[in-house]
Formats: sequence, C-alpha cells, structure tokens
Amino acid sequence: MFNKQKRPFWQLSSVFAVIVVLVLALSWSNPSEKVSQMDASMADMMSQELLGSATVPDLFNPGTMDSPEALSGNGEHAGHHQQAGKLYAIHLITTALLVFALPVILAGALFLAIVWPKPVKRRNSK
Amino acid sequence: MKFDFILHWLWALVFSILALSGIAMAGAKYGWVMQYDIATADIVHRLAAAIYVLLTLIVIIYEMIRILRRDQTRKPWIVFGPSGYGLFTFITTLIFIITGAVIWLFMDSNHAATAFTLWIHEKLTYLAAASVIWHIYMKTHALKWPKKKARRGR
Ligand code: HEM
Ligand code: HEM
Repeated sequence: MFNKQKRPFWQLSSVFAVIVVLVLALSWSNPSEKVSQMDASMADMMSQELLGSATVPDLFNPGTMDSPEALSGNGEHAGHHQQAGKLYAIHLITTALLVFALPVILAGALFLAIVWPKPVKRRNSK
Repeated sequence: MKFDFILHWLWALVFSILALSGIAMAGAKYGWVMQYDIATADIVHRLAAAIYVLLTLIVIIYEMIRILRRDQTRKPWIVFGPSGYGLFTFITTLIFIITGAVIWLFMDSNHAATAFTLWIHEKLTYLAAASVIWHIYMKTHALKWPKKKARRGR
C-alpha cells in the first residue's frame, strides 16, 4: 500500500485531509442551527415523502403529485411573477443551453455507441 | 499544449466543483463542505452543470469528427472512451446529465419524477466520487514532477 511509486497520491491525500479538518473545525466553531432538522439528503427526503406512494404513471403525469406548498400557492415561484434580474437571466441562458444541448448529446452518444467498437479493434490489431 | 490534455484538467475541475456543491446540497451530513450555504451551492452547481454539459458536447463532437476522419492516433487524456474508465465516465456522465435535466426542468411541476431522478443522481455521485479516487490512485505517476522521464504514456 505504501510503496514508493504511490507516494504522490498520499501526499495529495494529506493535503485534502488537512483541508477537510480545517473546514470541519471552522463549521463547528460557528454552529448553524438552521440546518439542524436536515439529516436526510434531499433525495432521501423526497423519496420518503413522495416516492413511497407514487406509481409508475405518476412519473409521466405532472401535477398529480403536487406538494402542499405548490397547491397552496406558496411554492418556489409564488409571489414574484415578474422575475427580472441577473439571476433569472442566468437561469434562462443555462436552461436554454441545457435544452439545446441535450438532444445533440444523446444523438452523439448513440452514434459513438454504434461506431466506437470497430476502430478500437483496428487499433489493437496494429 | 494538447487539446485533450487541457480538456482533461478542465473536466477534472468542473467535475470537482459539481461533486462538492452537489454533496453540500445532499444534506446536513455533508453540508459542512460549503458551510451549509445551500442556496449558493445550488447556483454554483447549476452554473457548473451548464459548463459540464458544454464540455460533454465538445468531447462528443470531437470524438465523432475523429471517427469520421478515421483518425487513429491514440488520445490517452480524452475523457470518453470505448473501454475502461473512459467508458465509465461516458456512461455516468450521460446519466448525470439526463437525471440532472429532469430535476432541473421538472422540479416545480412533477414531484414524483424529481424524487426518482434525484435519488439516482445522488447515489451515483457516491459511486463516481469513489471511482475518481481510484482513478487518481491508479494514475499517480502523473502527479510526479517530471524529473528524468518527461514522457508519460502516449
Ligand atoms: C459530475 C456530475 C454531477 C455530480 C457529482 C452531481 C451531484 C449532485 C448531488 C450530490 C446533488 C444533491 C442531491 C440531493 O440533494 O440529494 C445534486 C443536485 C442537483 N443536480 Fe447534480 N451532479 C452532477 C451533474 C449535474 C448536471 C450535469 C446537472 C444538470 C444538467 C445537474 C443538476 C442538478 C440539479 C438541478 C440538482 C438539484 C439542485 C437543487 O436543489 O435545485 N447535476 N447533484
Ligand atoms: C489528481 C487528479 C487526476 C490525475 C493525476 C489524473 C491522471 C490521469 C492520467 C495520467 C490520464 C491519462 C491516462 C493514460 O495516460 O493512459 C487520465 C485520463 C482520464 N482521466 Fe484523469 N486524472 C485526475 C483526475 C480526474 C478527474 C477528477 C476526472 C473526472 C471524472 C478524470 C477523468 C479521466 C478520464 C475519463 C480519463 C480517460 C480514461 C482513461 O484513459 O483511462 N481524471 N487521468
């Protein structure tokens, strides 16, 4: 495990270990009360609250599983309908990029999945 | 400098930002990673994700052009490949982007789909993070300051 070849790896690991200890010490020295109830990840929280009672059709029918906040009009977007500002612009641009890039990525990935194996064989036999 | 070399380190940087900001959001257990500033983590994560999607697009188009031109040169640093860690990165990246896009686009409208994809997104993070540590361990030789042999696997 500690052979000489791998020494740089352990050096890098110790740098990270020091950083982790420093950050931990910092966050313990100013305890944040606000997150004390959050001991599950968002994914685990949502799957407990929602997925437990979900059925497969729910995955494809938006609206059938709306959260209490959304139904009472207290959801994320309630109250600020003329969302202007830099953050909103960034959101629009990144979302547009995502929606544009996704089909291209999927098509390209499919292409590579079909074409890749062949050049590899030729490379190896050379 | 080589295009695929720069790309690898850009990729590694963006991946690290995504992993750190994502893990910071994943709950109080790991919230200390970003001082429990979950709103910032969210914005950072989404910005980095946009760059990550862009990088993925570039790599895929680059690989397609290489294949169409029957370019047979080996590019050891290119992050997507038909075997080994390159294949692992290719598949996990696609899953991250697809699940990430579902979370991004349907978080407010379809809670069942969000819960499901968020669960995959999070668990995959732990797998990918463990794998990247393994990758760094395997490729330790690249961390050495080049002394005698400046040539690495090419
Ligand atoms: C290396 C790649 C990535 C890693 C390691 C990663 C990791 C994570 C983690 C751990 C979470 C928190 C899950 C939870 O709270 O349970 C998260 C949330 C999220 N991720 Fe990613 N992610 C990656 C890429 C992406 C990409 C490419 C996108 C978009 C296309 C994306 C979009 C999102 C969104 C929208 C959320 C929810 C954030 C919110 O609360 O608003 N992620 N990610
Ligand atoms: C200190 C950190 C890292 C080091 C020392 C490192 C080193 C290397 C080296 C030397 C190669 C070239 C392989 C060869 O010459 O055969 C490589 C390839 C690669 N790296 Fe990294 N890397 C690091 C971080 C990362 C990160 C964070 C990612 C992101 C997921 C990543 C993804 C890849 C991929 C997908 C390949 C191509 C697949 C392969 O040929 O095995 N690397 N890395």
